[in-house]
Amino acid sequence: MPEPTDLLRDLTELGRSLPTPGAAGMDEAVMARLDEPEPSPGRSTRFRIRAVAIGLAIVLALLAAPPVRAAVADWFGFGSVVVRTGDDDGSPSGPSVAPPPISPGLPLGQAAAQVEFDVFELRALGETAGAEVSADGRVLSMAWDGGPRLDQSSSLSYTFDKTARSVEFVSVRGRDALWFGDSHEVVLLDESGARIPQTKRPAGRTLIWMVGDTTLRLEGDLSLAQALELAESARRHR
Amino acid sequence: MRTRNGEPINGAETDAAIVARVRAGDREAYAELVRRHAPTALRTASLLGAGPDAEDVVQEAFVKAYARLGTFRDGSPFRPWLLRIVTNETHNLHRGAGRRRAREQLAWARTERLLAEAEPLESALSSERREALIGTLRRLAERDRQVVVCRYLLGLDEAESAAVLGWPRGTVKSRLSRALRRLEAMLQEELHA
Repeated sequence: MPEPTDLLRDLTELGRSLPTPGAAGMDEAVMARLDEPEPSPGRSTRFRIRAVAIGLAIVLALLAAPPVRAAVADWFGFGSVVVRTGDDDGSPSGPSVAPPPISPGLPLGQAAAQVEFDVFELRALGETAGAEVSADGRVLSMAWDGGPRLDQSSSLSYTFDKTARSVEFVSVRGRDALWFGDSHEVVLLDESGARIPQTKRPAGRTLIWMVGDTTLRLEGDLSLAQALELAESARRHR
Repeated sequence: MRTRNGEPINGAETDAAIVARVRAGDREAYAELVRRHAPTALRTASLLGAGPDAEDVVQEAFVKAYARLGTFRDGSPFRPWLLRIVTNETHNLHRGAGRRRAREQLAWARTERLLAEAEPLESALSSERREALIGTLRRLAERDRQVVVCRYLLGLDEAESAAVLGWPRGTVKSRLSRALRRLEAMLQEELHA
């Protein structure tokens, strides 16, 4: 059994292996900020705006909930998804809802260039039939002929709002993932966190997991085992 | 020349002297403080979960520190004070991101990704041991993990860790020894599973 000193040495070694990017030029960037008479919402305040947007998303999503949603027992945020669970979401039960098709579709490389988060492919499904990016550039969607649909968005802000009777916690590569085994309601959220009513639709079985800072949402007529296998095959698009 | 703590060797100006100059109106002197402490500030933000936003967080922290320099207590060390501001800015990043547990999961997930991507070419650490360490850190309770990250992964001293975590120094000490015992036990379990 190794001595505890081995543990301390190894922890230190682990810390040292981390690169420290961004130190070069920090002095100039800071001094330039001090020259500004009033801090303006530039690069350095971007995250702050995003934090506010996330907070707002929660408040607005709650306010937007109609009285019938009073049955909703609980909600939580998972990556870019707000999940509400309750006794009844009013949607028909059963998994038989086909995901909406994508048309006409862009080559994946073109679509990926339009978004600010890392985009992933599912190796197990091969080439996509086409990809599209939402008008606000926050969601990238891919589809396969007759197959499932994959939506991706940044985990740093909420883009989807789902209401379901129940949800199951599963695991993809050791990280928590969510499985919706029944049809449920999904609606897109805009940048301010408000629901976009015309995007509301019933969704079929869906697996949600995260890779890096990207949240992936796989929807289709799949069993949990099939969905997990596809999820494990995710590779970053280059 | 200076040590990794930002303390100067052989006659270079101390942090306290630079702070005094900035307060006396020599604004440009602040750039030297930024250069000294940017690497540690960036590592701290990264490991506390700022991930790709570490640069933004640290830049913001330095701007805030400058604005608050009037409240800085003469004679106290600059770095813990700065790191406290960095920590607050990092936490602001995840403010509102759902429940606390979800926030902490997101923060550690980003840190883990960083560690996974920093696969060193030459290391005294075998990749098996490295993976076991990362996996065990993941399973550690959040506060236990935080103190281990501060003291060993970041290499901060007790006072700096106390500033970053917002705990009394005694708590840093007691929680650290408990966290290390747990970590060691979990690691043995994992390696022999």
